[in-house]
This record gives sequence, C-alpha cells and structure tokens, in this order.
Amino acid sequence: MANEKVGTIDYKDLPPLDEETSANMSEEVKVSVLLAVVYFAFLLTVTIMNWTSPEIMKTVLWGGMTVTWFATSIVAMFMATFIAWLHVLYYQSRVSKNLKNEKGA
Amino acid sequence: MEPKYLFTLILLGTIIAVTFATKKYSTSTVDFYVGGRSFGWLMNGSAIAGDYLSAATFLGLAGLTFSLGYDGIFYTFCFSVGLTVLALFVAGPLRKFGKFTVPDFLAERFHSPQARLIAVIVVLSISGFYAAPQILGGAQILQLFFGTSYEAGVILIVTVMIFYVGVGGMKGTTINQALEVWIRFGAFLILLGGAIYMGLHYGKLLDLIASWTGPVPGTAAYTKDGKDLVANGVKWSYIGGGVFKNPIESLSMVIGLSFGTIGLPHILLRFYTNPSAKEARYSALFAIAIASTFFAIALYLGVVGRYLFLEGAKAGTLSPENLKAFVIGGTNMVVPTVANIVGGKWLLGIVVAGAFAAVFSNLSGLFIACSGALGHDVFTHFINKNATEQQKVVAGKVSVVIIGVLYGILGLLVQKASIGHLVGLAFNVAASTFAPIFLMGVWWRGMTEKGAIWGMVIGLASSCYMIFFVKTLPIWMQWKIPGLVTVPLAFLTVYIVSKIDGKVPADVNAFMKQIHSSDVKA
Repeated sequence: MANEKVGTIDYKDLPPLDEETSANMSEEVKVSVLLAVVYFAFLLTVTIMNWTSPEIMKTVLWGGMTVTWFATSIVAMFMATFIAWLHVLYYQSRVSKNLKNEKGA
Repeated sequence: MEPKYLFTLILLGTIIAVTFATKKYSTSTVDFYVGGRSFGWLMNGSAIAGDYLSAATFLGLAGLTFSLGYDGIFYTFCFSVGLTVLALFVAGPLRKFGKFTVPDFLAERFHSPQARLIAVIVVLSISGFYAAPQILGGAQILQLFFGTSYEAGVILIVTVMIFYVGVGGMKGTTINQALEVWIRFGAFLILLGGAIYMGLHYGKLLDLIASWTGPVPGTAAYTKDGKDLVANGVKWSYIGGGVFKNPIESLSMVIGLSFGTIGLPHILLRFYTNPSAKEARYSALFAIAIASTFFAIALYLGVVGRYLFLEGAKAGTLSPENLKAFVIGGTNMVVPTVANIVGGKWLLGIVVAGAFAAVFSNLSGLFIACSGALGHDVFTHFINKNATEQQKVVAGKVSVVIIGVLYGILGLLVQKASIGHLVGLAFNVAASTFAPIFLMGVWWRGMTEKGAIWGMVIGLASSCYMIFFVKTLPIWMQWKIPGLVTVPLAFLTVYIVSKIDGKVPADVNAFMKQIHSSDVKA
C-alpha cells in the first residue's frame, strides 16, 4: 500500500465510514475514554491533593503507611492492571456479541 | 566460583543457546523483524514487560525510594501509567495494521516517504536517548561487580547485543527477553519473600523511617566532608523531599511519562509480533500485570533498604561493606545490598544476573526497533526498492552492527551524563512525537500528512529545547520532564495544521476499516 499514488481528498468531502467500522470505533473509543478518564482522575487527584490537602494525604492508615503512600505505591499499581483488565473484559463481550450477531445473520 | 560469576555465566550461556536455537527463524523479513507474528500473549506479554522494565527500573526505582522517599515512589507512579494508556487506545488497532516498524504506520497512513523519513529520525532519536543510559548503567554494573573498566563494559555489552539481535532476530530476542524478565521477577520474589520472612512489615518500616531524624552513626567514614549523614524522616516521607518543587512539575511528570510509553518504538513494534489483535490485547494486559507487581515490589524493597541502613547503622550490625555500599554505592547498589543482607552472596548473585538480564532485555528491543528503521525503512524504501527477501534480511543484520557501533560510541560519550536526564528525554520526546501521531492517527480520520510531520517536528524540537536549554526558561518552568507543555503543543500542532491543510488520503476510510475491523471477521 505504501507509496501508491492514491491522492488526497478534502476532509469535508470524505464519505462517512461504513456502518460496521463506525460502530466498532465508536463503541471502543467510548469505553477507552471512560476508563482513561477514571484512571487519570485518580492519578491527577493524588498528584494535586499531595500539594493542596497534605493533612488528608498524610493521614496514617496503619503503622507509618499514609493515604498518599498507599495510593501511590500500592493502589496505583493495582489500578493500572484493573483498568487494563476491564478493557479486555469489554473487548471479550464485544467479540461475543459480534459472534452472536454473525451467527444470527 | 562466586555465585555472581556463576549466575552471570549461566545467563550468558542461556542467551547463546537460545540465539543459536532460533537462528534458523531469522531468514525472512517477517521472521527477522516480527518473529513470524507467532508469539502468544504469555511470551509477548513477558517480552513487552522485559522491554519496559530496564536496568534503571530493576535497580534504580528501589534506589530512588531509598534515597528520596516519596519523591522516588511518585516517579515510579508516573512510569506505571503508560502501558495501560497504550493498551486502551493503541494495542489492538496497531496489530490489525500489522506491518514491520513504527515508521511503516505513518508511511502507509499517508502514503508518504517524507513522513517515513521523519519517523525514522524520531525512532533513532528516542532509541538513542533511551539506549545511552542503558549502556551507561550496564557498564557501571560491570565496573561495580566485576571490576572492569567503563570502556570494556560498553564494548562487552554492545558485542553481546550485536550477536543476540543480529543472529537471533526477533524470535531469539523475544524468547531471551521473556526469560530475562522472569529472572528479574524471580529475584524480586525471592527478595520479597526473604524480607517478609524477616518480619519487615511495610507499615512498621515506614513508621520507623519517618520518625528518624538526625545523624546516621558510622557513615562519616564514607562521606566527603567526614561527617555523619543526616536523615530527615519527615521530609523523606512526603512529596517535595528531593525532586519535585511544585505541583505543576508533578503534573508535567505524570503527563510526560504516561504519554511517553505510547510513543516508545521498541514497545509499539512488539504488538506486530502477535498472531492477532486479541493476542495483542492480552499481551498488553499481561505485561501491565507483571510491570505493576514489579514496581510495587521495587518500592517496598527501597523502603526495606532504608530501614536496614538506618537501623543497621544505629545498632552497629551492618558490615562495613554493606554500610559503604548504602552510603556511596548510589541508587544502583540498594537492591544488591538488600539482597546481600537478606540472602547472602547467593541471592546477590541472582540479583547481579538479573541486572544484566535487564540491560540486555531492554537494549535488545531498542536494537530491533532501530535495525528495522534502518534496514527496513531506509534500505528497502529509499536505497533499494527492488531488494530481494535475502537482501532485506542482510540489510537488517548489517543495521544491527551499525546500530551497535553507534550505540557503543554513544555509550562512551555519555559516561558523565545523568541517567535520569537521558531517560526523561527519551520519554518526553516519545510523548511529544509518536504519542499524538498514534493516538490521532488511529482515531481521527482528519489527520493529514502535513499535520503529522509538523506535529513530530515541533514535538521533537520543543522537547529537546526544554530539556537541553532548561536554564534559559523561567525558574517555575525548569522541570525535569516538560510534558505539560510539549505534549499539548504537539497535539495542537497536529490538529491545527491538519485543519488548515484539510487534505486527507483518499483511502483513509479503507485504512480505518482495516485497523478497526471486527475481530470476528479478522
């Protein structure tokens, strides 16, 4: 495909995507953006609260383990995997749905 | 024979055996660059983790926690984000695109040799910035544990890499990387088990460290000014104790490092090696699980190291050798010293082998990415467009040698450079060049060739300026990772130039259909 002379087209004249691709993209991007928003909300909350609310972040949970230490060194690591796992779960359900649709068609 | 020699020789022997065993699988371009697209999630997930968890991660993160406390764990926190964002937005579509290199994506998205060439320059820049500290760290480890000169260390590492990647290709590299990540993970699990067995409870250790204020007895013998080191537990336990000066700098670090992973060429091209998009997604999830667990253990080991140092110095139970290693060994010596205390020379031997595994694993990914950029993108698309399959493979292998020589020279030049500075530069350039291009190229049909090229140029230039000429910036903007400025700037450049240009490839819908097709049909 590379370097073939396919030419260009004005973006405003571009025909819409076919229904299936459009649906795939729209479904996937919704889930990915939702998960990314949740994830970044957590990350940015920890980051900002470290500076704006030190009294909360320094609250001791057990021993010398503070809220911020727990969130940064343990919860964040668990959350990275959890968010990716949710994404794969959603992907599995989408593939199953597509399979069902294909069998039904 | 000392265990550190024994385990390192076993590692080198395994690398040689795997490389020769997989030699026959590097005779075609698909085999040499993407391992025949034959790796399942377990193998490729392990290899992705191997690519991501460098020597700086294996030894450095615990060391940063040991010396900087919370600022050290915040640094790790930023590193832990990237693979997840990559899995959410890029992994599946990238596999469906299914070519050989990162520049292939741009070249085929826009049918543009110019975009390919700029992408090659960016791949070589990112990989060079990333490889230099790996070689530097590897040579320093050889100096520390085996007493070699820095120069001999660089030559040894580069020679092993040329053999490992040039002979084994992607197949040998992937199997070696997977094995190596499990050596490191195994070493960490043994250390974790040993520390728990010794009753080193996380919360209790943090409490003791936080309450320690004042000089650390016995350290004067190893300090330059001849005075005992002074520990400040309160400062150590909270942000702002060493690296981060303000919240904006912390935010910039989160943005730069999280987007940086999306743009690392040696990580991106690993998704081409899976047989399907499904396997690519599972590989990413598995790699994230390994990396997250690894990070969490590294941080705990940093705390264990700090506790053993303070309490050992106070009680006078630390051997002079271990005390000296904690005081003047630098961040790289914390994990080996903890291993020495917890499990003696046998565990230290495993950790030393793990450190080499980390250097080799990470560097081999960079070698493959760069040899693809030279052998596939430059040779096949600019120098000899009618190259035979055999010539393409030979070009790939010759590229490995060229890259090895260049990396060797680079390694010798950066002997005095800061490892953190170079790694930060690699991540920031990746975040400000390939991350916007891949995210927008995969999800937005409106991105044009000019938008992509200008985005990469501005992202690369602004990152280099804000890192190399940081002193010319206002004090409040003198950040270690300037992602807060350079990443949005690159995204905006791509968007604005694309909007002004408005000329998208006529077959962009077909491209989108290919990378977002239903996995049932794929």
